[in-house]
Amino acid sequence: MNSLSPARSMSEEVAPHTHFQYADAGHQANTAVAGMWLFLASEVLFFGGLIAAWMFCRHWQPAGFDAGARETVLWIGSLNLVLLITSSFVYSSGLAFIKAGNAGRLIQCCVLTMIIGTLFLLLKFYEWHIDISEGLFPSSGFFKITGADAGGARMFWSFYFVATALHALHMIVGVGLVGWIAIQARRGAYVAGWFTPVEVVGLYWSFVDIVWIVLYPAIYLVGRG
Amino acid sequence: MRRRHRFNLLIWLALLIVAVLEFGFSFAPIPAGARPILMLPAVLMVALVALGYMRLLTAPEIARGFAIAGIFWLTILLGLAMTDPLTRSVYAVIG
Repeated sequence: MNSLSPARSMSEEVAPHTHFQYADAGHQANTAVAGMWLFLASEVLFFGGLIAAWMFCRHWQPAGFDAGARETVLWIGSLNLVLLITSSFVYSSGLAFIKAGNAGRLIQCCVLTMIIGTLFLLLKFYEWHIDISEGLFPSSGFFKITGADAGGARMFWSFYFVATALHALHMIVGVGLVGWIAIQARRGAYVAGWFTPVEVVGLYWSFVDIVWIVLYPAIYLVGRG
Repeated sequence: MRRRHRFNLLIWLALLIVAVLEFGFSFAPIPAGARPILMLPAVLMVALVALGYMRLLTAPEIARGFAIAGIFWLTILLGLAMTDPLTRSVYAVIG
């Protein structure tokens, strides 16, 4: 805080959330949204490598890959898809509420989104427990699927555990971010004219939803012929 | 605000309908080689989330540029990764 302080104070009176390097609040909001989209573009390539691995492995070992996929717990994967779709809807509703200046409803939507996200994770942990207890972890020890399809099935389950673990990690970060938004909203940080962090976190949450939308058929449906 | 809520609800319903159709089609007798076609409903759902909940069409121009760049490089990644397996001829070993 130095000679710029008086100017900064004037700026804060006009637009308290606008940092000095931006021309106005709109410029700052657009920059934040664009920054999140740039991060999400890098995430597309991160998960794109996984999808490339799925395509490559299934192409060379279709029978074994599908034998592995048939062992997945379909009801948990399907329920989790509905849960994540619903969570994106709930969070988007929260964003619409804060645009209208209703912080109370935003907090409720954030809490509901966190509950749904946590439920997703609990179901995923339960699914991993079922998978591992049935001998589907592709370690060097006992593996449920034997015979000619064992190699392809091991590749499928390697993909499954890596993909779902990375997605779950993103979910945990997302639940934390939505919780942070709820706390900030409770402190009165967001008003009808300024809610950029709510929007940016919403982009991240919807992207995590998108990843599951793509993983769901790849893991649970395509191999179930 | 009511219009925005109605729009969000419509997107949610559309996503659920596509998800149910995707689930139902997975039980159809589709040959193993053609079953990756079951990924197509997911592409539609991704578009619905990106355009509906992520408001891509009303996002800043540079954000839309980043989104398009992501899709472009994903296409390059998947396309190059699959060039070898899709074009290689596998010959039977004789003798």
